[in-house]
Amino acid sequence: MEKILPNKKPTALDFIIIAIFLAFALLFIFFSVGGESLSVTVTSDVGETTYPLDRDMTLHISSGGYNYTVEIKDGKAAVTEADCPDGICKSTRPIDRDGGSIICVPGGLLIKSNISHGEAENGKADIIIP
Amino acid sequence: MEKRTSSSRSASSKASNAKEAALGAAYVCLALALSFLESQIPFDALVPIPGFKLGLANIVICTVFYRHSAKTALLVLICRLALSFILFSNISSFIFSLVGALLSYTSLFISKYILRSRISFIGVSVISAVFHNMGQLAAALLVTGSLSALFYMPYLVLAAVICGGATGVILCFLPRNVFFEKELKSL
Repeated sequence: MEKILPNKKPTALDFIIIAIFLAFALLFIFFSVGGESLSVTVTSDVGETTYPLDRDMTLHISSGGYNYTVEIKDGKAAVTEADCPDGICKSTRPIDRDGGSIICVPGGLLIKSNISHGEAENGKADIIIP
Repeated sequence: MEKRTSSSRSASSKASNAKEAALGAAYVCLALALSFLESQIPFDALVPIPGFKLGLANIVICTVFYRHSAKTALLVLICRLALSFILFSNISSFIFSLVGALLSYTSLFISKYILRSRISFIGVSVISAVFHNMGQLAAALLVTGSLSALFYMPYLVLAAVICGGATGVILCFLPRNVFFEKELKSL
């Protein structure tokens, strides 16, 4: 039986594959940036509520039997306390004007930003990375 | 006379099966130990991507897939996932890991049988890591039923290139006998 093994040394195709993935990721980031984040929508098992990002507040939310504390401060929304088993929502990047989302799978909690894509549709970018 | 030959043949095949089972168990232990090792590194504090992992166990799966067989690799993969689910994780991370791991396993067929020796273990590992993360993202999209998780896609691809590249470099420079090369030859 023929034994198929990869090349022992890095090849040109390795670098081409890496370059394609990197280019894809950077283009996706570049084109998804833009617009202003005005509010966040919190979806829990009791329903959906929208909160403005420019007003500081602390929310206490229960979803799927778990309790969460969501803090909106300085235009950023983050889960500061949660009693869910994995706690991944607490370490997720806060939602800010660039968008983002915080998902807690065990409790079925979803916090997402509502970005107006006006700027992006007009073909203007916030920043251009040379 | 004929009877004796067939019985000695079946004895040798039994011994070979036992060897294979023992090797498989050793691979599962290695993969599990590496999963445990990376679970002890607090990546959450360093990288703002939820559930970020290096994917060290993939080193074992890639090696088994290439040097042993696709079937053994799948068995090792499933045993490793089941054990790490029982020992350290919960059902939601198990589903995420399972979808990611199965997709990354599928990518190994593309690397081995289509790309063959045109790529090294670095390419194999990067492709496998990207497939793994896309599988996890697909699971997140299905579980939440919302497209918001797509926001993480480019960051997951970047993370996969970095981590897949790192594990690929380890794979490239591993001494050949680390993974029971001698035992494999004697099978």
